[in-house]
Order: sequence, then structure tokens, then C-alpha cells
Amino acid sequence: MVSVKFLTVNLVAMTAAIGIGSGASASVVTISQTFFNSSNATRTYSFYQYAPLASGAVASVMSGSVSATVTDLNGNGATLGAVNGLAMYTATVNDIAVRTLWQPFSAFNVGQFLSQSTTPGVFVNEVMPGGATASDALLGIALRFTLSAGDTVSFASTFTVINVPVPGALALLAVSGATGAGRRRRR
Amino acid sequence: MNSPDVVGNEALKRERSEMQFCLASTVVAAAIAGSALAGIPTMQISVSSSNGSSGTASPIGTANGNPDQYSYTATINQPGFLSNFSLIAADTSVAGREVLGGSIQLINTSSSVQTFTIDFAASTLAQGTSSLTGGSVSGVLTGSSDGGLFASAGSSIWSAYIQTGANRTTIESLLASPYSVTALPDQVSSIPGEAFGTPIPSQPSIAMGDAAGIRMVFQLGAGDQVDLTTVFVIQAIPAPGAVAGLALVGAGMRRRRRN
Repeated sequence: MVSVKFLTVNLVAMTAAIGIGSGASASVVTISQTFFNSSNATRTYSFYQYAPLASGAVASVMSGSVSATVTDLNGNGATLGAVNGLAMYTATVNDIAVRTLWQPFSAFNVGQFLSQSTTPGVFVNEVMPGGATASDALLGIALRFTLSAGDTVSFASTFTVINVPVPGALALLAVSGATGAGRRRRR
Repeated sequence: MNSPDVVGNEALKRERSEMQFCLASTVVAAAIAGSALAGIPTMQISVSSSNGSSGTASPIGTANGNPDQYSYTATINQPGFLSNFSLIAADTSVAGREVLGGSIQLINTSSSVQTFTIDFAASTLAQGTSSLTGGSVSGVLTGSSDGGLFASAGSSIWSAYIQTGANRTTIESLLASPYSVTALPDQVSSIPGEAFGTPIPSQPSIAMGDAAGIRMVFQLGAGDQVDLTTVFVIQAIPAPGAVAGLALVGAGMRRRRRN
């Protein structure tokens, strides 16, 4: 089996920094990647995509998803599989795994000249392990899989980290809100 | 040692067999007459959006390791969209079978929902009097920060066609209207696979023409991205004359082996 590795860092297209609520921001790593196995044997692929965190040093929650669409192009069926029981999707912060999806992953088989998409794997608004990310954090997604000969797969995958204000800042906002309400009530 | 009579019979048989082979070759040649290009198929790709942007590409095929198959890659980047193509097509002069397909990625880079039309076609060798066809499509939608939308625009999203001269004949359509898939913000959703002519190819259709194509028309939300993989297969069925010719060749060769 041949192993193919890809490493991609796209700072412009793959990172989105958007405002969410007061003081919160989100950073997104997105993968949209097609693989065509033009060899005559099943191949193992490793693909990495990175994006810097928009702003950090605060408590974080994270979400992610992955799905794939597979087509048999040579008439003998197509198979998308996992690599030795490893997760097919791994979300990372500074190259440390923080969440996996599709582990275990049963081989996804597609019939003669058929196209099929997988059931997406999803996690939503989970607390980041460790509770925070550093300001210079590099977010990433790693995809590891095998693909049968002569076939194609397109992956779509996301990893989102939402930075929310630290507890002290939240307390400050609460106090200022209460003060404002009290002032309005006195008037 | 053979007697003179036997040798004479052998010569006669060989002569008859060679005549039959010539006749069969003529019939086969006639059956594939009116062909388009043999060898590396030419590929034409076009993308247009409802905001008026459009672009085309004519990538050159390169042998991809699979027998008689060629790969094509192209990027069409226009105001309002970015599209990437990784396609394959077959040299139909070899096995009489077209396999057109691959993956298509499209990102709506505009700030509003757009209707996109994608069309790609590969030249084929016009042959046979009919064919067996089949095809499939599936995909994944990635939503932007405000969610995602992939939907039909009043007609089936996917259709496969055979072009003969100026005539384009739709063979089958998939992802019939109304059709929609949505995605949560920054999440992915599957576009379940659909197919026709299964086991592919098994749907009786018109003869292979000068080109085989796939056309997709769909709406895509602002900032959303769709990845589609698809295939369209045409297996030419030789004309009866060509079949008879091949049968004659086979009979001739069998007789020669027996002798």
C-alpha cells in the first residue's frame, strides 16, 4: 500500500474570523479536497489543513464535522476505509489532537459506477480540552484514509473554535449590566 | 503428408476465410464511420451563474493509469464563484465505452444565493445503433457562517446527455425538483447519492454520439460550497452488421484453428 501525504496552510481562504455575541470570535478550518487514486492498488492518504486562531488566550468551545462523497470510476466498486483503526478525522490545536470523528469507521463501499455520500460525523459546542487556547494557536484537521484503485473521493470538513470572554470578563459584563439596569430603574 | 486434394481444399478454405475477414473488417469499419475524435477525448467545461458571471475551460487529457482513461483538471474563477474540476473520460475507440465523471467543487463567493449552471462534455466516437447507459451523483454541502443551502432551481439538478451533431438528447435526470439540502453554520451535510441504469450501465438508450455530457443546474447559498462526485457511462451496442461481421471472423478463425 502506498502512502500519500499532503500538508496545506491557507491563511486567507480557509480562515474566517467572525464576531459572535459580545467579545466572542470564531476561527474556522475548512477542508474541501478531492482525491483520485490513479494507481492500480489501494492507497493510504494523510491530509493536513491548518489555520491560525483569530484571537486566543480565552476559554473556547469547538465544533466540527466531516463528510465524503465517493464514486467508482472504473466499474469494480469503490471502498473508502480507515487506516489501521485510526480516526479518519482528527481536530488539532498546535498539532495536539482535541477531538476525533469516524473512529471506528466501517469500510464505506460503493457499487459499480455508483456515487454515494457518507453520513456526516458531527460534534457541536464542546468545551475545548484544557479549557483554553493560546493566542498563537494553530488549528488543524488531519484526514487519514484509504481509497481503492481507480476511484475518487471528495471530503468536506470543518473545525470551528469559538472564543468566549474569560470568566472575569463575563463577571464584569454582568456587573455593568446590573448597574445600568439599576440606574434605569432609579430614573 | 497431405494429398494434393487436401492441400487444394486447405488453400480454398484459407482464401474463403481471408475473404470473410476482409468483409468483416469492412463492416466493422462502416459501423464506426462518422466518428468524432479517436484517442484522447477533448473536454469542454463551462460554468455560469445567475449574476451574469461565466467561464469556460478546455483542459487537455493526460493518461491516468487506468486502461483507456484520461484525467482532466481545471479551475474556473470568476466574480461570484470559484470552481475546480477533476474529471476523467475514456477513449471510446478502444472498448466502445464512455466513462465520464469525477469531482466538481463550487464555492459561491458572492453575498447572495446564486443559480449555477455547470456543463462538461467529452468527445466520443459515434458508433453502434444503440447503447446501454447509467449514471450516478452524490455530494457534500459545506455551510458558511450563516448556514448552507443547495437546492434545485425549477428543474432536475443533474442530467446526462448524448450529443450527435447539433442535437442534444437528455438520457436521464437525477435530483428531481423540488430538491434541497441545508447545512448548519460551518457544518457539512450529505447530498445522498442517486443513480439510474443500475447495474450501470443497463438502461437502453440511443447510440453513442459525438459527445457525452453532464449538466447540473442548482442554487447555492452565499458563501457556501458544494462538492459533487458523479459518473455517466455509455456502452455502445454494435450495429447488427458489425455483430454479424464479428461472428464471421470468429467462425473463420475457429475453422482455421480446427484445420
